[in-house]
Amino acid sequence: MIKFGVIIFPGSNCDLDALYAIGKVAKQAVIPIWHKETQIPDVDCIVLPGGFSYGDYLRPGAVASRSPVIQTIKRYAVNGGKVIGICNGFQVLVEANLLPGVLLTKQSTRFISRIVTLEVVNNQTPFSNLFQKNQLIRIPIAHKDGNYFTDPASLRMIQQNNQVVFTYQDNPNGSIENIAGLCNREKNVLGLMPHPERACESITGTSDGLLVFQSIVAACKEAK
Amino acid sequence: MNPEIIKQFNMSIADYNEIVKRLQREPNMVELGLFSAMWSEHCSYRSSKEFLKRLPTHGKRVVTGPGENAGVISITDDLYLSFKVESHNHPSAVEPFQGAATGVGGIIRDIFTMGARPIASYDSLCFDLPDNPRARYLLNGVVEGIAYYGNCVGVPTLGGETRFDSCYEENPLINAMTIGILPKSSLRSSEAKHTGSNVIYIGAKTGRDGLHGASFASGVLDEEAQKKRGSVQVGDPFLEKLLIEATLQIIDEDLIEAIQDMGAAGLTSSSVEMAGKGNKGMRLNLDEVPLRENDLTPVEMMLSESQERMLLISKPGKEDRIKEILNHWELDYAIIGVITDTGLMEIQYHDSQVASVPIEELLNPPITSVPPVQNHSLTPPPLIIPGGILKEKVKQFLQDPQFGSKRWIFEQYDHTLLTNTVNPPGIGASLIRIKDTDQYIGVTLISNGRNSAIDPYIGVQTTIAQCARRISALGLTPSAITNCLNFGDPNQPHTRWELSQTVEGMREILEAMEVPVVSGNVSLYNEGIHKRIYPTPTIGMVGLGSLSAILPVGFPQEGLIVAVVGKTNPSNYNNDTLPALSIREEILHQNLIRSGIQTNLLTSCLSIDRGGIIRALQQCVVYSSMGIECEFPVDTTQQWPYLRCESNGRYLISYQSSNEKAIQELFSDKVPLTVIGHTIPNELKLDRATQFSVEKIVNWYQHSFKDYMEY
Repeated sequence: MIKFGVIIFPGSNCDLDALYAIGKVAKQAVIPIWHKETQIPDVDCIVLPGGFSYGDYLRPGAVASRSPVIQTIKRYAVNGGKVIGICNGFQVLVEANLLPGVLLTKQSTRFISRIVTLEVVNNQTPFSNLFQKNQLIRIPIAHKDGNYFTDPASLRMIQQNNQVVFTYQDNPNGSIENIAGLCNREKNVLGLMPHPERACESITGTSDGLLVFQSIVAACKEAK
Repeated sequence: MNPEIIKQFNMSIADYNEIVKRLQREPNMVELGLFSAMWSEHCSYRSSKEFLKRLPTHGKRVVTGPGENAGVISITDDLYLSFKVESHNHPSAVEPFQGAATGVGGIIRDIFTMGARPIASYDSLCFDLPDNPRARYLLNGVVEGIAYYGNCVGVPTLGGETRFDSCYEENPLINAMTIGILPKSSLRSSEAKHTGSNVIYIGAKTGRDGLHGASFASGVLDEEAQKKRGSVQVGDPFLEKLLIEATLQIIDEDLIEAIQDMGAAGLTSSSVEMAGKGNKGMRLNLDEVPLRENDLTPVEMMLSESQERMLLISKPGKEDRIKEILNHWELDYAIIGVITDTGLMEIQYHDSQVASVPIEELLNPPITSVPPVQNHSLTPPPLIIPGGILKEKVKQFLQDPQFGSKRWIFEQYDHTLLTNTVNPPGIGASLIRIKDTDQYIGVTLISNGRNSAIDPYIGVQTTIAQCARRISALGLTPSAITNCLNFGDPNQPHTRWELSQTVEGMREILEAMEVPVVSGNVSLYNEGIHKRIYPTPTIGMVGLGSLSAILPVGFPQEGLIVAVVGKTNPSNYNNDTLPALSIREEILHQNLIRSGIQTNLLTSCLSIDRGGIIRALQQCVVYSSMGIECEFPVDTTQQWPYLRCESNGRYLISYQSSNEKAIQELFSDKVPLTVIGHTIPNELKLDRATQFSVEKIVNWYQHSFKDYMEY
């Protein structure tokens, strides 16, 4: 069994969903980790869940990115550990410079919650290896600040290195190049605005997100 | 005491004299503050109590009825459901964003105070017509406020309703409902149990916001009131999220005897009610209250409505562990008092006693009773019949923002969080699964002030019947309700007549359906300078049960037979009387519909209520992109009334032709069953001259309301 750790910041509110999706639906081992921890237990993948860490004070993710656990996660990632940041977790990852770019307020400035269609543009990552390339999948979004932006030079680098993993079919927030999720150069850190943990059982409208977690499991098993 | 001071506390001279009589002395400022809050309508229900006590509150599922922070019913032997609806009308009328936000925060606190984890919220919003710019300004602020608070605190908002009528021009209605689930062992009450137990304050620090909020909400909204923005509280959903987690952990570890949130009238009502419930006394030391500003006076501390605060009574010896948990969540903690056996509320400040009054007197204001007098001054204008041929009428209906998609609203609310949402918002009743069980919860929250203005007795019964139809159309059994009675000035004889008729109407139908009331709230004084609102009872109904099938909202395929269950009586359309309601038939039809769903005979089922058959057809077409070819059972002059009338007891169903015989047998001679057509792709064909493409219907539906809000 593959072991996941879900980081909990004050104000995280998708932590329970992540624990449920990984533990009960994907049937893997999963533990919660409080943000003040400086030692991370031995896990195969770290999840930074969605929510409003520190109430989005200052900027979404800004305060959480200074939490004690982030320094440890940085070392973990440098050593090749897999990290996935979902929604607010993505915002934390860019604030912590684990991923390039920024997440601006969406163009209409209103919060948006709906199921959107994504295209899997890179299926050669630990987070997407079970998808077909160019597969269209349906996953919910729920955010206000998910408008991805970066300068032209970084964008070129990101594209050259195939770091973009998911793009929106019908861009809901103004993200540059329709980017919904991207990873670092080394492909072991992924950030995405859509919520795969909310898309694991068909009763809630779509189960396409389960393949994200199953991809991670497959990648971890292969690495072992 | 100086009458000016008494007036500042929004208190009548008669009430003041009553206090002097009961105390046999003049109250001091702090004591006057306690009385002004506790005797306000908001805290005491002094002018509505006599009506409310007539409502049925018992039933086999009821665990906790009205009187606690929220009602509780049982889902299974070990799992409970807590829920309540509450108004935040006055604050939202003067400051829509914070008014609505703190309304959401308040109702969520009521739920986790019971020991339940909040899992969904709903909102009933009534505004003036959307072509009024001020109505749009208020609606925009209210929706943003609900989204800001609900999304951040981590409780999905799964639905509700939006209504427009000019009677809400000065007094918009914002009623928020939250539901939560809890294991049986987590149920807590607010009743103080043991003398000597410590009273603990947790959560946000106390500031000056919301001073006199309870008495502000218990007066009419005139120009003076519009200046009272300072009476509106400011919410911090992040702090409330921490408070939820800390509180549920404290309950889970069984560290407290009792718990109460500090809502209206803050520290005053929470402390008085807790001690009063257990027939105890309480001694508070205000020097210990965590303050935002150091110079707050004792009166201000007692009346502040700063949000995100709770009062706990700890179990002996558990104080240190409670403190540890609060430190973990970075929340304030202070032991501010102790439970006594004196029956007195005693308040200490700077080493002297600043108040000492019997709690019984605080909890028992003189009852206001004006005899009810029937009055039809509010009779609404008749519905406008759209002009032109049938096609023109249907087109106008399909473009009406009242019946257009409210996606602009509900997409601002996180509605997929917690992964229990089975039906997305927008279709009247929401369906929630309960993880690790085979049980489902159906919830609907609706009001209809116009109907109640025509006839408050039948009006509220119609609303309750509609709720029950929506729940039954999911396949679930109506289990209990919560209600919010939004009315005008209770000192007016006509308001009392409306209240009395409403409560009697509720009592009759709820007793017949065996659906109890387990919680609720009363919002009176919804009057402005020019207008008073229609009497508007808002009903939140929950249904429970297991499901053998989850039906789609629209028609799942072509070639299905579409039929109306129940009798359509077009002659009722546009009268100034309401469509007839037979409670017996409602119950019979609900049972048959549920059994049709549970035996997998139906391929779709939608209750027919507001807007009639045409509304139900619109919903089915939009949600399935499937059309219908109609064969009308009436002649051409009756087509529009047939499509638009709101006869009760009806459902729009579809089924496979292979099940026709079984369907006939199910309904047989018990209920009229009228086939009105069959499903076809791409088009709604009402008759040869009245046809619309599905694409056009969807487009109108998506834009008619949204275009008012985004221009």
